[in-house]
Amino acid sequence: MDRVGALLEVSGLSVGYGGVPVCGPVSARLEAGEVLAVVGFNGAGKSTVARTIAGKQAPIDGEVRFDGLHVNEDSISFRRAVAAAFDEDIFFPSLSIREHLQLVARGHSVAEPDGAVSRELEFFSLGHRADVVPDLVSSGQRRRLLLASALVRPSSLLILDEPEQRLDPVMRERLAGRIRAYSESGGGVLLVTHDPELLLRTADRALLIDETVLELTPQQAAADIARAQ
Amino acid sequence: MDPKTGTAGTDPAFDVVRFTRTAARQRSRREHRYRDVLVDVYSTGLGLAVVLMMLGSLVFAVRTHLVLEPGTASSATVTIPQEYLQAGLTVAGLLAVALFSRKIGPVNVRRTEGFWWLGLPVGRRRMVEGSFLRRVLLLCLGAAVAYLPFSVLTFLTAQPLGHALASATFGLAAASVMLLSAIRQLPGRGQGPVPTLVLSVATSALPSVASAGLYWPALVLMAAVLGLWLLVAARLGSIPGADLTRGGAVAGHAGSAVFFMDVNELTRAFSGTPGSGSVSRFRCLYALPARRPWTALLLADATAFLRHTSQWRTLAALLVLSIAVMMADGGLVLPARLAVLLMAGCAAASAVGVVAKRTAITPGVDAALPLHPGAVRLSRIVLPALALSLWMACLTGGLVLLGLAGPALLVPGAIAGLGMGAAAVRGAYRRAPDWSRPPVETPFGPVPSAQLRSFTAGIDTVVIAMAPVLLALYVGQVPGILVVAQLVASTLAVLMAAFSR
Repeated sequence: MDRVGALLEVSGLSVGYGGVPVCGPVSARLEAGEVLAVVGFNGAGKSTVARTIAGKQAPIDGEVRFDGLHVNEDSISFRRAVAAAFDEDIFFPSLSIREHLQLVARGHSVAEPDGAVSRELEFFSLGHRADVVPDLVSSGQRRRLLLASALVRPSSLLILDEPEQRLDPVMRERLAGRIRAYSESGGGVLLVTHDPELLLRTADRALLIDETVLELTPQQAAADIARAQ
Repeated sequence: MDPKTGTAGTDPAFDVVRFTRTAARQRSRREHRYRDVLVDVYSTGLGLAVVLMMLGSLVFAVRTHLVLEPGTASSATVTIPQEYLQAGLTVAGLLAVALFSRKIGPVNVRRTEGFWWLGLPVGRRRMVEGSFLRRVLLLCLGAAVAYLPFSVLTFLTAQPLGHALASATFGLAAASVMLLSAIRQLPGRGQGPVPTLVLSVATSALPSVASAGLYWPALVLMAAVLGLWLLVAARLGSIPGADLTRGGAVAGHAGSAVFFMDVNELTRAFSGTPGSGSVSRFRCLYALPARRPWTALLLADATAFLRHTSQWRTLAALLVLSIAVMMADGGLVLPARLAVLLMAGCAAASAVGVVAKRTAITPGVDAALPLHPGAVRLSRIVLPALALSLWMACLTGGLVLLGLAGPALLVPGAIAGLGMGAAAVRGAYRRAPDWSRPPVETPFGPVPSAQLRSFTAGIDTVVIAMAPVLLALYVGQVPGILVVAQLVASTLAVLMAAFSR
């Protein structure tokens, strides 16, 4: 089916806690095949914006539409189409890294789940630790497992919250290529990041989250991040 | 296969719960030896059997005493027939079940399950149905077992079959209440607590009826449980994910507190956080000028205390319960009634310690203040002490109005409340039991004294603070020496709470 509007449409979105906004209202559009970066200083509300767009938090005001429909985390079609990786260290204590990925792949009815899982394990250099429980690997490896769980499954929108955290430079480089490949295959990406390199390699546009939310080019946003650092 | 998404369509055969459990079980089998499992089962079973035997012995000893020496009639000007009190306590028990159920969901998923399961594009009913059914059955069984001592001690003429039926009836009523709570989680079913209240009141007399050996109350409630289950089970998958994870977080927190036997942590798990609107209340109080650090801390503690409103409901319920027990016509001898008052006092002290329990887990904040730790605790005692002084004044005032004591009881009552407020803070700052410390050898065998000290911190001070006023109630008059003793006891309680480690 051809898409009529934008993949993701955010209008006057106000996000925060206890009814108090943490940043200015956000309005943005994300087309299929595009990468929209979200940048800003610490505590600006980038992750809160991403969580609200992912349906994990109720907005204070405004609306978010995915494929023309209101975002609803409880809707099966939304769960099928939207993959998200936030910085949450939550794992089953008795399931290995491979079993976590198998759970996601099978839950999403991936045609050959074991093959898909093996490919992700290889991509994220987790193959040698695949049969170990996440509690016994490093925080960087757990981070890679979370990213793999977002990428092992099919989706049309990928939301990543600072995916560069705890990754070494080589893995950041590979991740950038993977995000670009995802968007080139027709998926939309909402990328919260503090990494100017990742931003410049992947993003088409960027939103600067502050008291007033501005849309910038990736170069302007990268320069802004560099100034803040 | 969908070429765009790479999926092979929905796979109805994939059971996410079974996959997780099977994988976890296989790992568990690899890592645990049968001998260890047998030892764990044996030691748990033995411990449980010992506890049940001790409780059973206590219950039968009290029952024998009640049969030989029936409870004294209340001398209050207005009395409550014993049957009404029994029914009232049954309603209170069912409402407590309803409150507990809503706190934990009752349909919920654990944090890990919420993260890994709820994002999958599969129906959620199978994710929650099995665990919820187990929860309902466990609650039914647990409530029945908990009701058994109450039945044995209150339905003195009933036969063993009658006690079993009364307990089963209560267990089924509790299961019905939990299922009603689950209905409140369904979208578009925000009907409020009225059905739960109606069901609790309507079923309150059924255990008493069943204690006569009648089967129909249990059968009626069993039919109600089945009907409610059919109503809920079909729509379990529609419960919002946020509600499932909220309940799971509370249940997980409470479960770990029970595992470590940490009462304060258990209270924290169920107390929740004040609503966002509460932040705007008492701003004027907080804004009052404070020249010294202690005054600033006192204003902060007072504001935090007053912004919590749940404690007032608990205090009101405990007040009603205490006065009702004193008004009950027969059933309990005076020392037993006073013991109930003492237990209510302990519960009231725990309820007003909610702010202190929160600050106790952030000792770094207290340490950063330019104040002696004792001064910090004194500041934290002030509001609980005033609240419990008011509560005790209401309690003793109620007893005076009922003709159970003279007006002079109000004085030691209000003073006792000050000591009980100190006990609230002592209890809040009790250390979590350290199970790595070995028990101390005594002539009676090894005693885990360090752990016992941890459990009794706070309760000991309530006993000290309430002893004179309870003695005054027992002797039926308030001599001057008792007022002095009450002053000494409350001062001692404050000093213990503020300055003992």
